Amino acid sequence: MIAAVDSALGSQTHTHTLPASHFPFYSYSKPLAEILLAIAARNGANGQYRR
Amino acid sequence: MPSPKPAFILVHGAWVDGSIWQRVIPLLEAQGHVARSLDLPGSGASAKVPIAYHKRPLDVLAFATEPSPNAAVSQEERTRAVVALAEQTAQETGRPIVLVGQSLGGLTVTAVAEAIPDQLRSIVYISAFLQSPGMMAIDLVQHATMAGSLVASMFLADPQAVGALRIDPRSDNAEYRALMRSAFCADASEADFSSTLAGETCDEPAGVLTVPARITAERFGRVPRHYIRCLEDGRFQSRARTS
Repeated sequence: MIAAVDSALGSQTHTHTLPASHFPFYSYSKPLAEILLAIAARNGANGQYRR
Repeated sequence: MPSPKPAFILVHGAWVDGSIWQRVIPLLEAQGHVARSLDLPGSGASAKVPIAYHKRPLDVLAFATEPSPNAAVSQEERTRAVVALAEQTAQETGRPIVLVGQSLGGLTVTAVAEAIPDQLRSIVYISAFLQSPGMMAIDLVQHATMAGSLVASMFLADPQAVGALRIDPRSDNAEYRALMRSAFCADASEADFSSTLAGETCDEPAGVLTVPARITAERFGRVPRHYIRCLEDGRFQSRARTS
């Protein structure tokens, strides 16, 4: 489904994984926050990390 | 001068409310970010439930047929609520926004990104609905990749008949509780699972599933987007696999 969206819009979805259930808020709250923080550190449409 | 750290706006999924983020928000704030969540219209404090939900033991037939008082809640209302919070947060903090949606919250994240792309640093889906242009969420629910989903087997009423995706978070039926746990948080402690159920409502408005995604490459498509796959997501497990 992600591929279909990317194809339709002509832009890429960056994917990440967690070994978590549908609610990663409990057992994986810290790894989830780490991914969100890494995403926030990216800058611009091409997703490079901010210096 | 370095740009300020983005602010996170966190959007919850079906049946739960903004409190689902309570363990994540402090971790983001500890790193210098602003992080805010909300209760979507029809959720949390504004959730309305059928009369039959209050009666225990549950009258199964009444619960299966009573129209949902939450049915009129629209995707448009939810989109407006998140746009307002994002704009308020951007104005108050001067920070760009990272917009995060979990599960059904993906529908709202998508609509908000189309509405205010210039205010967003990025959008993030956590095991969430992500639609192609023109696609309705119901199409995703009925997609081949969702065959055998545990979620549909939790429904205790016909969504079209009552206007809601109706479950019973207060159920004391061991089999039904096990089903909910497998679908949502098999890796959580019993205490966390029980706490989650205590905060859930029973009726998620069904109408949001039939709104086509009105997104364009020019607006939604230029916001950097990320998808976090939860590999043990019970929504995609069949009932047989959990038995």
